[in-house]
Amino acid sequence: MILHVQVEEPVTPWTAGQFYLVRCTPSPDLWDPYLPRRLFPIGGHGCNLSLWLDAPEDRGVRWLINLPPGVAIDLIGPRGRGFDLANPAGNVLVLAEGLAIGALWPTIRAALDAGAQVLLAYAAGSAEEAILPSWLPPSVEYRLATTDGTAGVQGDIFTLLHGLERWPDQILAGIPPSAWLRLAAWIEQWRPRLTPGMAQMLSLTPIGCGYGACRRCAVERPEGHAIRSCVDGPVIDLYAWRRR
Amino acid sequence: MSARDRCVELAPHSKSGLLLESPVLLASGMIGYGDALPTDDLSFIGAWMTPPIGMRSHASGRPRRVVEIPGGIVWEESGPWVSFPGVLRRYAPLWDRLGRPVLARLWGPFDEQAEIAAQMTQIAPVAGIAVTPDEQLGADGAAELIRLVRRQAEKPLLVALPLASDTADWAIIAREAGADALIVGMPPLAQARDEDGSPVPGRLYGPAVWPLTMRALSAVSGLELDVPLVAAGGLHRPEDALEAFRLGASAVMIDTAIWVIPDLPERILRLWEDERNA
Repeated sequence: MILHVQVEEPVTPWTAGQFYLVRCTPSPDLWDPYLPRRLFPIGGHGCNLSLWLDAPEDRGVRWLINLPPGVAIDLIGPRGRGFDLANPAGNVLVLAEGLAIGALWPTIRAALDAGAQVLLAYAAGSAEEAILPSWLPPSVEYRLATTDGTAGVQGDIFTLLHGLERWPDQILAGIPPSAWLRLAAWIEQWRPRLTPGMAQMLSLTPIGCGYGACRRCAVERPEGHAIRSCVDGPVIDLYAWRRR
Repeated sequence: MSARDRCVELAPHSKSGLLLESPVLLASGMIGYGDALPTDDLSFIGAWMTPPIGMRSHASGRPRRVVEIPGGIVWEESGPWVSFPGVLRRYAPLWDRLGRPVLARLWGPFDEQAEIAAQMTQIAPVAGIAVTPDEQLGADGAAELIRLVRRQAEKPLLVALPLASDTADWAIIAREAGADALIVGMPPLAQARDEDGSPVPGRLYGPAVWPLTMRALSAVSGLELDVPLVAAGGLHRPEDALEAFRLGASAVMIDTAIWVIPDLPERILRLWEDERNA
């Protein structure tokens, strides 16, 4: 779902992957839900902004969904680190699972605008959760995998990478951290080594405070230390994440 | 209100004193090690407290669980995220730039806490040492820790008290053991279930804690211990701060409220100013 908001001042330019914090209470002196929610911008210009609601079951997001038009909300942003597209853009492989596609949507747009060839590899649970090819710009090549095989090929996101080994110049992904090492290994099967900026991961771990203090959104690195998604991300360079 | 009018002395019996430019403090970990700022303007803050600092890090890699409950959170206690040497290397250079006094919160075995307290003497932005004895230590165990740290700490020593029925007893013991100021109190122990149904033991944060703080503050204030009191735990409204000052607190400490109302320190000071001018 998408939330359209009108802001008081022209929107600060944002990069795909950056986010806004939204308090989901009707008054500043009410405290339930307590924590702000993270919403990713997916479009807008001037004083208009469109935000992706990636967790429709969440209490705070439900409150936003049920708001009547015209109600003021407390919005802070853009915050965090967004995607950094290579220049020239070349071949861009976008990997997305489930609702992460919403947050990646502007990345696809930005890559196309930069002259890239874009291939979207998308994994969903079933056909019901899959996006339709007609929703995508025509120049985007689309591959789909579903867990139950009701659409596309049956399998996970890696099932879709067959034959793409030497194709991408850059990989922009919204897949869980548990799959990041596997992706790094896949890249290094075909490339001499993973390099900075080559693969950028959008972390969708739940955030807490949104300022880097509570560490709820920390993503564990293979060597043990953590990266905080809200301030060091949510876009995390795979090279830096894995580096010892 | 001039900056001078806002000043508060939190360690009048200490050699170095702890003169702060504002009676509004930030609780442990609320701005991380100074690297997690909900607001760029810290001018309304008298001092801020670090997350626990121990000789070794305990939980650097994994996320710290936070469970949202109606009107607050249960925040898992995880121990130090970064070791003491790591804190000095990575964050201490930042503290000077922040320009606000640091209260270093200690963690770990008693002797290590004492050793860190001694070494903190050399760290200029650190204006005070904070000891937060765990409830399970009991008041006598807490007194032992406070005395040990007291002997090593040249800087003023703040001691956080549990919010419990015997907070006043802890206050007497902490004062006798050498506390320069008392923080009333620590967020209460709590437990909630996360989305997976796993129990998350931690501490409770949110406005519901404030009445507990008021009860404990009243009890400790009534003892007239001749030591400054800092009201902490659950403060979410400027009016809460005024209530704490009326009950005898010299300063107030904001915890997670700073995440949801970044301008709360400024609002407290404005209301305080209005009150004094009325």
